[in-house]
Amino acid sequence: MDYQSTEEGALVSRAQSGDDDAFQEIVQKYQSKVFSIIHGIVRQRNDVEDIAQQVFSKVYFSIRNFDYRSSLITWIYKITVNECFDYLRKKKVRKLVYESDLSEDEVRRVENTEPATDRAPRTDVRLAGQDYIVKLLAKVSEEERNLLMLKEVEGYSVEELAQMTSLNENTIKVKLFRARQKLVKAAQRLDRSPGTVA
Amino acid sequence: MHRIVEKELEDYLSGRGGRELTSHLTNCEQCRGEVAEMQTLSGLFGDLRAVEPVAVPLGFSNRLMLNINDRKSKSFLSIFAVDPGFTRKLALASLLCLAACGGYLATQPVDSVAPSDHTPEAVMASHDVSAPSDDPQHMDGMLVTLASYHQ
Ligand SMILES: [Zn+2]
Repeated sequence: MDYQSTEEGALVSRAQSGDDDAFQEIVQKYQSKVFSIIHGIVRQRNDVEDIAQQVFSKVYFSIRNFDYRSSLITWIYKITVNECFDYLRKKKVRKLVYESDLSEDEVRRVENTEPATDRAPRTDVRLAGQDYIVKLLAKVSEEERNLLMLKEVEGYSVEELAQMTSLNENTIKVKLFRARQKLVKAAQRLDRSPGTVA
Repeated sequence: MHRIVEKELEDYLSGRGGRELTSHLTNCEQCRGEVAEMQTLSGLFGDLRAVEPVAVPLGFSNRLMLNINDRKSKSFLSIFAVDPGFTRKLALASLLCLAACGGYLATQPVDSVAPSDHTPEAVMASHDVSAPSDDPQHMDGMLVTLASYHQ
């Protein structure tokens, strides 16, 4: 049975024809998953809902482009991860612009008064790991990042990834291998100059 | 790095096989070093999993629909407001339309513009002479018609 003729395929097709009830069913079904993906990548609890709003707005406005080649959750997963990294990138740009207006002493003072969550990587092992891997993932392509996340965080096997993406298993293996090589290189650069790679 | 790494790395990292790679690593120092780094990074991904179930804030779905409807109405209005090109084209089209209408009216013969039956004589003649001339309403009506002609 192809995906389009499944129950979920029918739901997507209703949403594509502008049925808001169908879209809300999709939101109900996947909102919890989306929140936990965002929460895993972005630590600021206050911003989680804003990002989730962005994710589902994108789903709403681009559902017509969904082509049934992957499952709906794979597609939503990709949008969510991209949205998180986009958020982190914008936040970093804002921080750099803000800091460029301050003297070195002022920057130091601001950093020392930032909320505990932002300084946590230095004290908490788990948050340090999270911060580190997020910085490395920002250095690979969107496709590589998604594959790595689906494999490592969501625990999908190579076979499952091949089915989800309509690629063959060998291609998935090669893509993952290259993505891992890039991560190693990014880690080496980051370890050499901690303040500049992220 | 040797080809065997590319082929068996995923099985090796997930602990579901990769026997050939395992034996290769015992003999190849270069691959051993790089695979060890990949393995370390692979272990860090676990930190990206939400530790506890994340509760969806109450009313999220309602706020989302409000947000979406807001964007929809904004994008509808933006067709008129935001695109300066569209506004300029609209203004130009209106001017051309006005010029075309004006040009048409100016080139028409006077007869066709002001119908001849609106002359004072025609207005007088159109009134029923047989009607009683001392009827004040009838006289007022004729005066109004003549006055509006002069205006
Ligand atoms: Zn080797």
